[in-house]
Amino acid sequence: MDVATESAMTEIQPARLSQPATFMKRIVLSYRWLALIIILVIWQAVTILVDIGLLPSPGQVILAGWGLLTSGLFFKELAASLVRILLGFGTAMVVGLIVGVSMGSRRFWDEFFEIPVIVGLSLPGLIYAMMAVMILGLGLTTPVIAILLAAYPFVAVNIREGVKATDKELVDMARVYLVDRWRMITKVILPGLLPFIMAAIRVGFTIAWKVAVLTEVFGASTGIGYQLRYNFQLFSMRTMIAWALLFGAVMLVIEYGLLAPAEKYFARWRPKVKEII
Amino acid sequence: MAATKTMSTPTVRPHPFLNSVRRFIFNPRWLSVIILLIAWQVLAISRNTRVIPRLERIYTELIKILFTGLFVEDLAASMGRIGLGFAIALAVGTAVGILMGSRRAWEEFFMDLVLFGLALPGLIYALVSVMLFGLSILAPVVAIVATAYPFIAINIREGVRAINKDLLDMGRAYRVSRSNVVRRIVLPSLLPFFLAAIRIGFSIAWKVTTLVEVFGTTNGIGWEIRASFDTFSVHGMLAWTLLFSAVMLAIEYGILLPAERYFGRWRPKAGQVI
Repeated sequence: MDVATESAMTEIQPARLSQPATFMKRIVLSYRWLALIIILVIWQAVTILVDIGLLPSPGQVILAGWGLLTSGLFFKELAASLVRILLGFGTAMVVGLIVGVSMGSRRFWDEFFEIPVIVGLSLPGLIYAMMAVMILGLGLTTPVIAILLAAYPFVAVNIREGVKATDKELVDMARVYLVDRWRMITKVILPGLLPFIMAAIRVGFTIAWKVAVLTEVFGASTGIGYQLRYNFQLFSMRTMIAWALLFGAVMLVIEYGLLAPAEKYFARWRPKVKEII
Repeated sequence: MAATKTMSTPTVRPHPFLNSVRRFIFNPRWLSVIILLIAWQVLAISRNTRVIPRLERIYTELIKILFTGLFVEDLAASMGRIGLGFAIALAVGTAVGILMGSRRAWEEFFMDLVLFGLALPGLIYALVSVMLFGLSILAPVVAIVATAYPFIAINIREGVRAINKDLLDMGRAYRVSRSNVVRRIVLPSLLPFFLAAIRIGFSIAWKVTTLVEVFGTTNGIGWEIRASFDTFSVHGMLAWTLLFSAVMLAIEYGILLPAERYFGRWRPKAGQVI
């Protein structure tokens, strides 16, 4: 992920949490609410003034969303999607780790995997989703394979960078002190890899849920993607937008509330030099 | 540690031509592709099902699409949408990025929107746009703008923040005219970030366009992909995807990336200190 996206995604509120009062003041008194209000106002105004066919008003979307939440349907479909996401994500992480470690350690593997990784990085997730549905059908293998193929290159690239960045001097020193293999891995190599693993988890998870939803849109009978397609085909805009917003909110919470802070936490020992290129 | 013999030069023989031929054949880079192709062909022949087409089938489809002019036709339609949406996304993203980079107030104002936009998948924007705007050109354009502008904005924002304040102060001390300040200090500093934004924005633009075309158009690459999907034509989808990706990658790695490197060559190459 490029530097700018990286820094934007890990820049949560500046950590001046010395007093609860200043923290709350930062949240409440910022301009972000102004943006939210303006968006809602424009949205409502457009609904009333312009006739863009099926545009629902904010109120209708909120009502639809509320219905989904209270009826429990949202959580049921969310669970179905999460199973696929987590399975695919797990597989992608394992494969990506293996590929990344081998790419970072030996030049042979670096060159061997170069083309599959570059191709994998560039193909849009849509293609993986559609191909998987066509070839593998409607089962659980479809999202897992699609996520695996779409996400493993990103994981591999991050892990490779991490392996290449291992402090050779520390490894040499450990070897001089005749440190056994297990301790070498867990105490010397792994801590250095940790920030890269976190970054890989972040990117992998992002891709995982996007590809999972795409797979469901084209070939599933449960899950968020299925609901999106179902409502799309029925032209029920408000429900579709409600699904999209609710699911987006859950993913945003996971990404910015869990993964980004975790990544920052594990990388806190790193000197903070901004990459210029 | 014993010297390991790499695959590329098993033994040193006094035949430079043969050596380079050997190095080319045994180059690990092609190994993965060759293995993949062989595995696919074996699978295709053993399974003998429509959804795993043999390599010849894919190849003939490729040739057919290319030489009947079908590919160029659909490519032109898609490129039109990509171009239009990308241009508008660039304008919006640059404006937002400049604002965000200059004043803290603007940054707070736009930050949530940008973060939200960064995380939401293009699929959602594509579906909503198609539902709202149907078959008109607005659908892909709005979807592209919505998906791509956050990435462009944050790149431009980084660029604005990275402008050398010392140079600006020096310009003020020497009473350099405003246009000169912009031309000679601000713009060259922003250029690499602008080009990075263009590359990322373009990458997103073509992916979102394909999505929109899958759901709501009657021509274009995405529509062809949708048609292949509906007829379970794996060879068709592979052929279209390969051709289209080749063109897009050629643009990204052949034009945009070199331009970005060229205009960024004055920058100190401080690698990431990890």
